[in-house]
Amino acid sequence: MKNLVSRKSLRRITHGLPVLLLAITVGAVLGANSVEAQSQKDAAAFYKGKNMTFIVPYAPGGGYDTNSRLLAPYLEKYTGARIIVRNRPGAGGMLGVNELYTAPANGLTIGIQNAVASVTNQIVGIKGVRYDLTKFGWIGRMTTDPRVLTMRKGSPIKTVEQLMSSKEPVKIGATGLGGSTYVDAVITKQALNLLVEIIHGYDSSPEIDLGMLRGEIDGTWGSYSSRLSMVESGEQFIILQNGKKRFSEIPDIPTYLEVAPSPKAKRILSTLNAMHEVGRPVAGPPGIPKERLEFLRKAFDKAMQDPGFLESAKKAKRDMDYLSGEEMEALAKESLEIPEEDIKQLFIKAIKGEI
Amino acid sequence: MGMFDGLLQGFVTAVSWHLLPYLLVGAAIGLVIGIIPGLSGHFAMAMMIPFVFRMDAAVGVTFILAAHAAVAQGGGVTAILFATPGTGQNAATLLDGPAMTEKGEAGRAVGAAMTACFLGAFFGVFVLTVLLPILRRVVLMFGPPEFFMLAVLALTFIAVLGTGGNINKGLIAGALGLLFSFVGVGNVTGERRFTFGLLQLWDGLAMVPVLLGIFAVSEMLDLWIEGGSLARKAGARHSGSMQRQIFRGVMDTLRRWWLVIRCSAIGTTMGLIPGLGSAPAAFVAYAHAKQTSRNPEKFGTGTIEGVISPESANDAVEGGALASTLAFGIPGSSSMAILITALIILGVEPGPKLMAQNLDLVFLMIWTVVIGNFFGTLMGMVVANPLARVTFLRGSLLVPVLLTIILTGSFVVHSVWFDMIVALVFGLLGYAMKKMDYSRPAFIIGFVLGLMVERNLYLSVKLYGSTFFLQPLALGLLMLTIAVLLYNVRKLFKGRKAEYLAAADAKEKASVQTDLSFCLLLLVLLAVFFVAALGYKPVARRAPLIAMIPLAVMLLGQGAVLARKLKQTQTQNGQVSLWPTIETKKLGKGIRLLIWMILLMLMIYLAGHAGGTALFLILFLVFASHERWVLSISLSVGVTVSLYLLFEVILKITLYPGVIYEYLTALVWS
Repeated sequence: MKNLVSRKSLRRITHGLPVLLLAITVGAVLGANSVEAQSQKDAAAFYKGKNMTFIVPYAPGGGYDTNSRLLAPYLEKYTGARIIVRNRPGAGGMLGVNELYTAPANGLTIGIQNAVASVTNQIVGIKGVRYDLTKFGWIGRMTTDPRVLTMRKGSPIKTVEQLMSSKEPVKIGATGLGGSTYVDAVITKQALNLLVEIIHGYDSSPEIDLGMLRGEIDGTWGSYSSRLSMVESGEQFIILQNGKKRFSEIPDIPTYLEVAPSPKAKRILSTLNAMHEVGRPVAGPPGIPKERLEFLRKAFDKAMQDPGFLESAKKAKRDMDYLSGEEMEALAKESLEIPEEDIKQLFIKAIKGEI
Repeated sequence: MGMFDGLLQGFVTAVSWHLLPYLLVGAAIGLVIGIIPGLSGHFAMAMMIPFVFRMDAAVGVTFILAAHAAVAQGGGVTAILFATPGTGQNAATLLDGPAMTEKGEAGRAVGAAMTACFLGAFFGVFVLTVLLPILRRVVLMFGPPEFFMLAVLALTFIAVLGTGGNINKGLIAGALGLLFSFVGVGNVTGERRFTFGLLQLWDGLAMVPVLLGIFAVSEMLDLWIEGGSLARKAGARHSGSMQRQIFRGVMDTLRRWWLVIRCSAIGTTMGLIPGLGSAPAAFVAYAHAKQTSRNPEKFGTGTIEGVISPESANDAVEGGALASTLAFGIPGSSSMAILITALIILGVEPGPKLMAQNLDLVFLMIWTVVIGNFFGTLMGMVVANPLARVTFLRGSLLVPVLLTIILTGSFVVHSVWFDMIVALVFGLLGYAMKKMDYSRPAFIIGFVLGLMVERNLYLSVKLYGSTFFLQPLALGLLMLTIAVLLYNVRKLFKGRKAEYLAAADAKEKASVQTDLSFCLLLLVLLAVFFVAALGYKPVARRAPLIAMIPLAVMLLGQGAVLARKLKQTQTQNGQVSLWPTIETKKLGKGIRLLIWMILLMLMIYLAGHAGGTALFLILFLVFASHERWVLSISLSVGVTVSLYLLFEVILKITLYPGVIYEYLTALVWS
């Protein structure tokens, strides 16, 4: 062998090989990038100048609608498409979510939803649900809303410890049976062993506020943003919040995971928390071509970080809590999984209002 | 700041050069929104929010509140002239307003209504101001027990509304309304009631489509079948003397100041109930006026009091709603919720802080409501003249155009296509009720209050136990309710009945057979609901059953009375057929219009609002109204373009795009 290849040519090969290998590798990388760039360019070309539909499952004027309309111009900026917001209210939001799920999967129809309600509906298997949360084409999460428990101004219960050790039943107000204010109250009552009487049936949170002002109701669960004005005016104060870690605006208030008295309680409350993590995400129907979904995710990322968008959101006092599309996919799966059967039954009973 | 100083300062600020233009523009916008059926004060405010971002507090508040204040004025005009409630607030004006138009007294009605509305708003705001120091305490006196009692009190007025001497029919209508209010998923029970598998009914029947259907669509049906124009019994044209009529109407209202005060008081009180809305207050005020009038049987035929009473109440409600909004930052109504949002955007925090730190803003708001309303009144009177001329146009032109506007209005409330079906179905019901003398206002009162009664009863018992009504204010309201009931019962026995019956026979009524068939139809409907209710949880079926059982009893009673009457005529005139006697010509016209309306909705479903409306109008005008092609095409294009401009372009409400459009876009871009 050594006779066939001379020493000189061997050196040439050994010196040349890395260069050659380098050349091949660089070429491959450039080539691959250009293929991906091509499909991204395809996606961009696809969206340019087209009309996109953005489904909002609630009537105009509400929080979801406001968020969507704040975001729309920035999505337009980064997709090159024209975004038309369509309100499709009904069945507490389920109508719009169904419609989003069954829309044509060409990537031109996307929408926002109250994913927490979608999760609870799917877990319980409510008649009329036509979607599977794990199959949506997740684009990203706009916001979550930290959940807080507030007490009325004159309440003798000033901290969550006092609540947990109270000998008198505390009246907690809730709106609809099976709704989020109700489920929060019921689950925390079970997990933290609270002596609490849940009075549901109020038409809306303002009515509960009135009840608290009259002293009929001692406290209520609600989203941080909806409780804010009452808290700032001093009429109510927060004693508990959800979350794996404390929300930056209320660093002195414990989370319910912190005060959970047992591992089982911790698991129950983790499940409840996971359900709320999904928040208000944007998604498309299942089956959107991969490049287009990627393109939409990137556009969403850029829109959510655009200083103009953040400025207008701040002015409208809408808090944002961004999460990427990939992370939403994982979160959606996680929110539906309740491994322990008895915990699952507990949640099903709470959502159905049977507790 | 002293009260008087504050008021003075507020007034001066409101009419300053800085703010006056915004007041005017806001009022103008509000007036227009009021005129458009389906759009309401809530909508007016929601629409203003994007503009508010760039304004400072005083300007923004003035702009929004002025718009809101003028909305009821606009609604009053369309209610009177076109029998179409521009907003829910003006529903009660439909009882006597259109009747006055029929008599050619449209101008007088408009003048009276607008003046009453303005005075009512003024009263509401005046009470608000007077109560300012103790506002918190007053609002806090009302809780679930008091809301329940107020709702029950309002319900008893249903008894008064039975037209003619027929209290039974009034009660049936009210109970029917109650029953329909339970459709949907209630907060209290979480049970899906009477949705019959339709997802669209989960949130219940939306009030505006039901209202538009039962009053406006039915009126269109009537107009089409009877022929003629809206100003049917007008005689000579009074176009020039419209101004004189309006002035006369204004004087009429001013002369009845005591009635105005009473009705405004009713409005303001009911405005304190959160979430009630102004429609029930207007109906209750109407019922009260009828009850205390010397000629109650004239109500419904076009009396001026029948217009003044509801209009005094409907804007006074806002004074009450504004009270709890300002005092606590708790919205008294949906439009108030938007006001709170706007205030927050403007950097003002509603609630005790507002009262403490920005009292000047509060006074400004008070004056804006008054002055905005005033400008709305003036502008409305100017607008009424040209609008009134339209009422003299022939029905064959007006019916299709108004139908498209009404159905579009039903759609636009929640952007739900299904709401148009709701309007249509209730249009049929409303027509039947009109022809057979079942009180539609009684129906509406039941419909609006049903859920409220159930919810507050549940909460009252949960919070205070079964003796909740022994609380002082609730007890007082209970006494009042019993007093009103006893008063009515006594009146009945005192033989006023003869007067009622005489007046009732004078109107054209449907025959006994038709009446009986309608009765049976309602019983069948009731049976269906009953069977459905049996499958619900006990908690959930309690309230509907409480409505259904008396309803069944009354219907059976009604049926028995009618059957006996039929037998009487049989023994007199020999054998009479049992079939409802409806003139076949009229029936034919009615059914054809029904088919046309279904066609309109299908066309909108397929071709979208613009396409469907244009197509429908052209076809209808040519083939059903027998108008000339040129006129038909130009009119339909004009109406379609106006609708499109107004909703899509100016108001930024996306109309229904249509299945074909969506299918095509999906096909082209997949």
